Amino acid sequence: MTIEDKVKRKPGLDLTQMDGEWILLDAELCVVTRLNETGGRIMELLDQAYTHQQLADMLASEYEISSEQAQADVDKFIGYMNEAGLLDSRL
Amino acid sequence: MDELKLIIAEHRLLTRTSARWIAEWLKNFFIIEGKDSAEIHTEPQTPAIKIQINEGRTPFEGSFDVDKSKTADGLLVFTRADYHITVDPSFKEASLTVYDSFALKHAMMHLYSLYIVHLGWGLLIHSSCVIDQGRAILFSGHSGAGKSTAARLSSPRPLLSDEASIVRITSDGVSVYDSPFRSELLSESDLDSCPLAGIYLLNQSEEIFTRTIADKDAFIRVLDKVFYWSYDPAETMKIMRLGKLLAEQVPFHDLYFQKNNLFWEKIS
Repeated sequence: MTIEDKVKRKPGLDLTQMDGEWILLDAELCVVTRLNETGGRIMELLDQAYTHQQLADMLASEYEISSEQAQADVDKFIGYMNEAGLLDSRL
Repeated sequence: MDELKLIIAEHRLLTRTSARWIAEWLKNFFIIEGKDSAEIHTEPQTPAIKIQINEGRTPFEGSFDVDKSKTADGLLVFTRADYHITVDPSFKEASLTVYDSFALKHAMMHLYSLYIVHLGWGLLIHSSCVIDQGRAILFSGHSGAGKSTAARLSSPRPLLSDEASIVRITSDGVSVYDSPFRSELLSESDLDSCPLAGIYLLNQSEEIFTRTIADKDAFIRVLDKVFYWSYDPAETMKIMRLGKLLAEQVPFHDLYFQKNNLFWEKIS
């Protein structure tokens, strides 16, 4: 996967909020993943396909952080989600 | 051929068997429609599921693992050394083959748990449940944590379950029904259901105290207390949603307790 590739969350995942924390339910793998606010927001956006750059631009604007910081956070987070099998592998 | 209509919570299970011991076991542990007509029970919300029960299989081999498969015509199959369940995906008809009464009890729990999740009705939770001042208090925890001990130490309070609690979960409230799936303390059977006021996860300790569990932690901790054998992501998602609804509506606590009845002083 490169930063030019589009990413999207795996179909069938259920994203829900509890006590201000995001919870991602993967019924296929029977796995529950807990995410902080930013992670939850990224997975919420990834209901549609975006490149890392597009995601970083949206986060930089929403959270008023630098593009470099947003890009680094997005790359790291997408890497984790990819390893956990929570992204759509068909893209 | 014995035909018995069992009553469990709001459900009816129409069983047929030609084995005398199976019919006797069912009569001993379940409320039978017609036989126990003097009692008040909730009217069924869904038509009875038909269950044929036969003798067969081999002795329990010590493993609770269940093999899951599907037949060519889409029937769901669950197999353990001592029991075999076949059920159609709409849960109208099922067939059980059981080796002995232990296998029969486990197969009935297995099927009932699948059934109530399929209906989106509720969960069968590994726990004991006690009625205190008109509300149900549920005790759960890992194996050996003291679920049945807590139930015994709660005497003379009435029990709804000592092993597997039948928990009805809706967005308007959560209640617990009298469970026929008992390990040792038999049903008093004049109880029907009771609103659930709290869930206590048991930990043995020298000191007795409770600690509130946040909803997000409660949700995750209750999921592994559910009797369930996942066979389809859509069904698993129903469990996750029911678990979330449960955690949002019912307060969860860790209960640190000794094996005496003083813990009731800490239950609010």
